[in-house]
Amino acid sequence: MGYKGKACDKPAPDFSSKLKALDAQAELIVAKYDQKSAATLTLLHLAQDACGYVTPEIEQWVARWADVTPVHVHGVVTFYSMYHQAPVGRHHIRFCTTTSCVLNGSEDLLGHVKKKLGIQNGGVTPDGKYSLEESECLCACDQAPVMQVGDDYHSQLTAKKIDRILDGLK
Amino acid sequence: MANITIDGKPYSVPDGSLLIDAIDQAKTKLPRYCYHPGLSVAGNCRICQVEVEKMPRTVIACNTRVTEGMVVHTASAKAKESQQIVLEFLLANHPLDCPVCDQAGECKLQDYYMEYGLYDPKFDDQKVKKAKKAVAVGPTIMLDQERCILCSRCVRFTDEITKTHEFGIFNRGDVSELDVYPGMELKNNYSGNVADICPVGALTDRDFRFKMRVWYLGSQESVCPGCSRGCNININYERSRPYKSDKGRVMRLKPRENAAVNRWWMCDEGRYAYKAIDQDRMTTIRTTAGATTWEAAVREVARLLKAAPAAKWGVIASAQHTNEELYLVRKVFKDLLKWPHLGYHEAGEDGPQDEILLRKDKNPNTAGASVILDLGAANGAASVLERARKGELEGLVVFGRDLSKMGAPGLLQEVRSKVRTIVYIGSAQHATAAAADVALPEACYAEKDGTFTNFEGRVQRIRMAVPPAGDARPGWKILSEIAAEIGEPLVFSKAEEVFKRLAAEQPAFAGMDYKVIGSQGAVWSRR
Amino acid sequence: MSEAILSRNFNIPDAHKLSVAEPRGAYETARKVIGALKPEEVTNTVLASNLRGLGGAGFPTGKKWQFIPKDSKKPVYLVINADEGEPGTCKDRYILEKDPHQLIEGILISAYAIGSHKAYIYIRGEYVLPYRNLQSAVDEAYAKGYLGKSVFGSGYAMDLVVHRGAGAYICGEETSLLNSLEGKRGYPRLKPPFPAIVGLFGCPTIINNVETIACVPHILKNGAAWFTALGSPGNGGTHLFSVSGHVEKPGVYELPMGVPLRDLIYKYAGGVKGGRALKAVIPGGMSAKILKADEIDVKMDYDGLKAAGTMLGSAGVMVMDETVCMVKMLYYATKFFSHESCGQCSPCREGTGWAHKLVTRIYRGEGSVKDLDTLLTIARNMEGRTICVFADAAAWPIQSYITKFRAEFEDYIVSGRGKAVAAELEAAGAHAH
Repeated sequence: MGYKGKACDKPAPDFSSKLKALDAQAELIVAKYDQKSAATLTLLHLAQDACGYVTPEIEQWVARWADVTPVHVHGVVTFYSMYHQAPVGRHHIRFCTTTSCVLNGSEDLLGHVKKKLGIQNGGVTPDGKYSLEESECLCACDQAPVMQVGDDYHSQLTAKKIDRILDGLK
Repeated sequence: MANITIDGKPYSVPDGSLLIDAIDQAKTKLPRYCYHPGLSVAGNCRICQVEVEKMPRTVIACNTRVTEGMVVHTASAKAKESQQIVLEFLLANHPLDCPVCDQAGECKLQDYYMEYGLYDPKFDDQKVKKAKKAVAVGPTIMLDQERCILCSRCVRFTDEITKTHEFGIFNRGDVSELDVYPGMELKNNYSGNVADICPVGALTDRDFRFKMRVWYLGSQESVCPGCSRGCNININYERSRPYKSDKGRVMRLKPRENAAVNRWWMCDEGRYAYKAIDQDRMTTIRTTAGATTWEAAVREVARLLKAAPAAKWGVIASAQHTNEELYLVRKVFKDLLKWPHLGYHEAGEDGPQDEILLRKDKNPNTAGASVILDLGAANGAASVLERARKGELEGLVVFGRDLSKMGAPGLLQEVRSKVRTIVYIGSAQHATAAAADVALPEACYAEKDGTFTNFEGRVQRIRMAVPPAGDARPGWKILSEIAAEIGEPLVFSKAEEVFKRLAAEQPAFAGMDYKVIGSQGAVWSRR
Repeated sequence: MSEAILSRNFNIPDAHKLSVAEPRGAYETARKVIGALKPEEVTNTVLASNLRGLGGAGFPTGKKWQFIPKDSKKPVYLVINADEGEPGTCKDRYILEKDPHQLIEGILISAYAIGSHKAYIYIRGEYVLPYRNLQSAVDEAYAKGYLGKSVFGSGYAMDLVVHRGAGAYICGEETSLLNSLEGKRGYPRLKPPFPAIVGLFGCPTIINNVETIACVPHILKNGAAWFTALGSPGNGGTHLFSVSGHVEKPGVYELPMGVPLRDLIYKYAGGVKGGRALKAVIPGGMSAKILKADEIDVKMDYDGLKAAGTMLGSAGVMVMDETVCMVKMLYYATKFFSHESCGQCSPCREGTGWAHKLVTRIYRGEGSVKDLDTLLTIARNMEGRTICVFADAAAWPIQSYITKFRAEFEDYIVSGRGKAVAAELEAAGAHAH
């Protein structure tokens, strides 16, 4: 798989207070579904958005809310490419490497990003600002080449445009 | 019922049954990895491909329901090609180092390659590397992720049977891997089963691992004596050294399928208890008069018992004994000698019980003892021991039990100081054996034939896997010789003959013999 | 271009807001249908319209709806597949982001037809802006009483939950989607049972694509005959064609079913970029078999492309000009499929990875001509032996690229130019090995 961020070697920080603050939202999320377990993915999004990545503590918190086992949650976390098991940069880049983007020069542009940031697929810059994930089709093919930085899509990329976007981030 | 054809032969099977079950019932061989009749259908290994006429492609038998008139081919060119193709995929990333793999000899990849594979391997690239090569995932099981073919049997076992949820499949695609939840151990009382159901060498039993190549093992059908469930087992023993009990003859126990008793499973408590077969055994005769042969010992004991005042002697019988032995205990002590003080059960014998297999009664034959000895409510060993403790008894015959593990601490010493003669007949060398005046070595369950009656009244056979250790003899033989010596001609040459007599006399066993009991047992006729 | 139906609001600013969408007709049809027509009447209209599933499979929508058991004691669910992921496809994103009320209206009518009171929209996790627009549209609809206990005051209750995926192409497969929606790994389910009988939470469930459901209000508004007449025989309506790659004007084009592929490329998308010659076209998303330049005189509908040995799929048209290296394109295709295989079935899990290893070594100049035959064997062997059709989809690019461009593949291998390509890629930093 491309970027999946193996579980972090360093001891995970204590997210208990952050998670406690999410309890109220978690309760609302669980209530939307006909079965609690269905809230698993949504709860993981919620916790990851707040904490940055998914630790065993978060898996166990999700397991409690969704009434599933921690091993079930871990299976889910490792299946989907959007869940991180280690910290990513403040700006996480998903760089599309599928057909339409390749046809429009994404190979060279990806090389440009790697050189510019000095990281490979799955890497995080030493200052923790950027991380890079080679992603499969982001389905903005009419706008190729594309990348997603954080939540936002950026399209019709050129090396210059990439520089402008990345340099403009705080 | 649906009429179907499997490999040209007609069968009638229940409507809607799974095709793979129908194929199994037809005793037709078909490869499978993920399918297990005791678990939900996963359909992921894809190897049980069969050709069903009128279907464009081969289908997996484990997720196909039979329909009326279905015509199935398990070994047609089309079916075999499909099976072979799937096998090649399964082996693509599997290490090809069978000589160093502990599973060799009972590996379904190996077996099926010989039966269904034999292709010219095309994979010549780097195999996927995985982190856990021979890593213990708990006290009993070793995991090798690279050998795993992700059939998910173990995951389903811990999800569906034990509901302990230790295993999961993590990641996806060809870097998917099986593991326990990080920080968790595979530690439940049924963990050993995952090594049984693992079709390859991914999960191996730490206790058995590299102890012996499986092709050197002999196997005998038996029943676990660990509790009153009576799980059906196979005793796997070392064929080349049956008499060398010091080195360990029995190598492992494996559950044996019995839908009515243990299905495909057994608990770890029972599985790893086999070590007692070759440990701490009493192997020599010891009597007050110094007898060294069975003839002399039996004569001495028979004389002792015959001369004993009935009201002054007691018997601690054992629910570890077979029905045959209990029958002879009854004959000798109750019917012949007419001793009033008999007991076999003790409250302290109870242990944990669960919803899966484990029963709190740790004896395999309490039901048999209850019916055969027919002691009514006064079945407690405690009351016999109480008499002994109070000095009301002159002599005590103890079968198998260790008094130091019964009742209050110090009971053995107290009884010993009050009772003049203690006769111990049993297989284990323990404090009671050491304290006894007469000690006769008895064969353990793996060394004799007989039957146990489980808590549901199912009479099941145990069979001799290894000969008795040292001078030991089966209990039924010892008892029948004592009876003969006392004057009752209860002479049997085989346990089966004892059973015949028992069945003729005890209504619960009416109509049964070893053939009727077979390998799956027979249930008591209720009075 | 023909009349814009599905895309009529794509260029209207803020059309995702109710205040803009409603004056432009949003919910007009649903309001007329719910409570006034019988559910069977709605289904019959959709059936007569020849609307077919626009997610890729092309199954007649009305027929699918009829699979719901009539007297189900369990709740019936409608699930909207907004897990757009097929490479080359970017149509649903426009509906979700630009005109979500069109989708919600379609959901109301469709749910009413199948007797469902709860729908879930499964939207791919990366679609953050479309998700936000969609969620706010749902909130607006609830606030107005267009969703909730009594839709338009009709007494018909309808709940709608938007559920985000988390990055897995396979979740576009409908049973994988159901597992994912239930909070599990996105493993496709064994069939039978089919979702219409045992679907979400074990209940009867209909899963339809975004675009399919977006067609429903228009069909009910204008009638089945109108919709049928828009398309080609047996393929009702218009379709959103995503056109990308080497064309002058990549984009999403709403055109009648059956539009000639040649017209799509040359008439609507402005022709091949820079006036270069056409080499190949993938007509229906990554999984569809590739067409050579001389094979593009086909009608873009289910039947037309099937006859041409490929498929309409998700109607994601990827155009390749004469400069394109087919080895490189196959490298990225096999990379995609090996990355996205869920790993459940052995032929797919092992086959996609194995194929990608072989293509990688060819791309890097380390392969042999024999590898091409091994690839074709792997592809053939993967087909039809797995729970879902992902393995088949992974096989088709391998088969079609190699068989249609065999000489190019062999030349690439024999010439050894892959070594230079690998060196270039390494120098550019694009590949690290």
